[in-house]
Amino acid sequence: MVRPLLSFGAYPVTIDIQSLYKRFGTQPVLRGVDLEIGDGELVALLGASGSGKTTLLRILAGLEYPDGGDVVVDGESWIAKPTQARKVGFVFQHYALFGHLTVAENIAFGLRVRDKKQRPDEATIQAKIKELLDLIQLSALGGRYPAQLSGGQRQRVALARALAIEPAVLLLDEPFGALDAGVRKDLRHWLRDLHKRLGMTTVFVTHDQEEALELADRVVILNEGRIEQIGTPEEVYDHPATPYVLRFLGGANELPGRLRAGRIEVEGLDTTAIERIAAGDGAASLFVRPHDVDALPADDGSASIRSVFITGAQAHVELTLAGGKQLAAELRRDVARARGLKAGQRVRLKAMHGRLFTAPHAAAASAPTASDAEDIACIARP
Amino acid sequence: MAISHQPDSLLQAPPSKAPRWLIGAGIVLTALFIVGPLLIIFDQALAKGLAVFRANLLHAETLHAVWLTVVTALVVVPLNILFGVAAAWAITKFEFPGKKLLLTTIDIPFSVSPIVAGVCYLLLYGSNGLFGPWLEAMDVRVMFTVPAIMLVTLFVTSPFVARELIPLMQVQGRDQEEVAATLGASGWQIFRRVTLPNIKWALLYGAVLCNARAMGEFGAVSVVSGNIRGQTNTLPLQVQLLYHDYNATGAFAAATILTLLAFVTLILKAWLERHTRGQGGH
Repeated sequence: MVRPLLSFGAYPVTIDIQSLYKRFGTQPVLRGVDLEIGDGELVALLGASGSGKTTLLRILAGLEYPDGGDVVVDGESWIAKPTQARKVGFVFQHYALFGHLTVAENIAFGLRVRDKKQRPDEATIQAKIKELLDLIQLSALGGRYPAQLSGGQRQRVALARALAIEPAVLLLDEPFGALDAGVRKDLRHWLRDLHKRLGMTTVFVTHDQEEALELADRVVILNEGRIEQIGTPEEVYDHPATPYVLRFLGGANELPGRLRAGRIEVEGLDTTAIERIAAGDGAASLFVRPHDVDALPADDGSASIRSVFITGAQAHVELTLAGGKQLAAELRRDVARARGLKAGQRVRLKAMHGRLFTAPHAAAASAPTASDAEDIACIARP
Repeated sequence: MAISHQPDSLLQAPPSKAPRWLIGAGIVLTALFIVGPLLIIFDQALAKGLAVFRANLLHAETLHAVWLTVVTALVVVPLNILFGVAAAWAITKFEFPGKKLLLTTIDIPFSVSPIVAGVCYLLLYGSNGLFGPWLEAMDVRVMFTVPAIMLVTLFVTSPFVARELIPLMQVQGRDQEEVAATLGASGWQIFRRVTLPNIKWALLYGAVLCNARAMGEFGAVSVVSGNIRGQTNTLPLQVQLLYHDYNATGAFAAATILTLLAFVTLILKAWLERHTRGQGGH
């Protein structure tokens, strides 16, 4: 009798990352990272290149060693534990399939290298190969070599190979980075479903915000070796903790202005829709996402349109404010057409929704405090 | 990955575009400088008839030279395979201080004239050399013995395998080894099941080149061997010796053996090149 093969989530796995430090030469890559990952969670490490996200993942796998801090999995420190003993399923961006082995033998690799005592018999191995091939929907291709597969197929084989060892944790390094846009989207949905079925603790690294927001239960945004924010996709998108997060997620317009009696004033922009905040007068920055900027044609308007270009259902409008500041707006294509927006036209601008950060934040280096990051109520768009 | 196949298809561009005279000149030059001398070897070797040729080949000193050449290669090539794999593995899979220095050191035997290499060994181990007196006190004789021949050959041919492997292993990176480690493979299993299959053809190719040089090496060996007939004469030295004895037929007969060895090497090399190229695709 063959026992059930895909028995992930059979035991809960929690990861507790405690103040990790790591430098390469004189270059610090992780500067005190604390992160708790719950059992069965799907966590995205999101950041630009050089943010330390891949290094963090590699430390979890034991492929890199931290200079300080600890990784505690189910109450046990993993720092001294060799990669081989950790039982992590690691998937590389470029698949790293064994070119001299067939798809089936790639999947079986982790079973065949076990000690004689723990190695399953041939029938069990074959059954497992079959089950995993079914899982990745490549049942007919077990005899092929990696060179004969497409990119998406190779990535699924890499995943099956990682799953074959029944890993405690699944770690994916830019799993869709090398794929075409279409394949990437399909594979993303497939991975989301797979995670729902298997329920295993999964951490993946990406620089693609869309990927992180769509796939993850929680998103961890890293910047220069530090965590900027941890939260659900909604939290980090709607309530970004720092200007960096705001810039990284959705590319906001950053407009210097002045706070007067709790209200932000930006030259050439109607900010009446933005709620007052309890803060003293002084310099502040208003961040407005392009789709939160409304543009109405007006001859006495203080801004002018530089260009309008259409992608699908969206019209992207590039504007110049009275003070010379550049700004981007995004409207629905039919709205832009009905209003007759075109290059050279003068418009009146209104910020429908935005986020304020008082001056010190312009540098984006320090951590946010409760006083200088205030949520601004969302105003319904017309 | 697929890009690596492109140069192949470029090489197979239609030859019709090359002007005829260029191809003709190529054939004439090849005939003049390569095929001609090769034919002369066999012509001269057989100049006094098959019986003399046979006798020359079966001459005790020549047979001993063949034996010594083969034994030297049998000792040197496996050692240099070990050295080459270890050096390439260390250089391409690990980070350590002094890596650049090691990489440069590996190239020294390529950049130094073999004669100079021989003289260096002489100055180190000869009776007037640095270790000479000490070795003599221990009653160990290195110079003008078979081990001396093996030592210099080892030196001269040491870069072949490493030089063949390093570029390939650099391109391959560490991903496959790392993935194998996460799957539970031990260091030895990673080497045997992942690294070795990936470098197999390049390794054989390097070994063939190493072997060709080990058998053909003249300069360095001539300095340290002492040319003792029937004792420390390798095949290339034997050819020279016979020629200086005004035994041209004998010299050419011995040379035919070296030529045949070269042919075998070339055939092996061509066959391996086909395989190494195919392997680049993964």
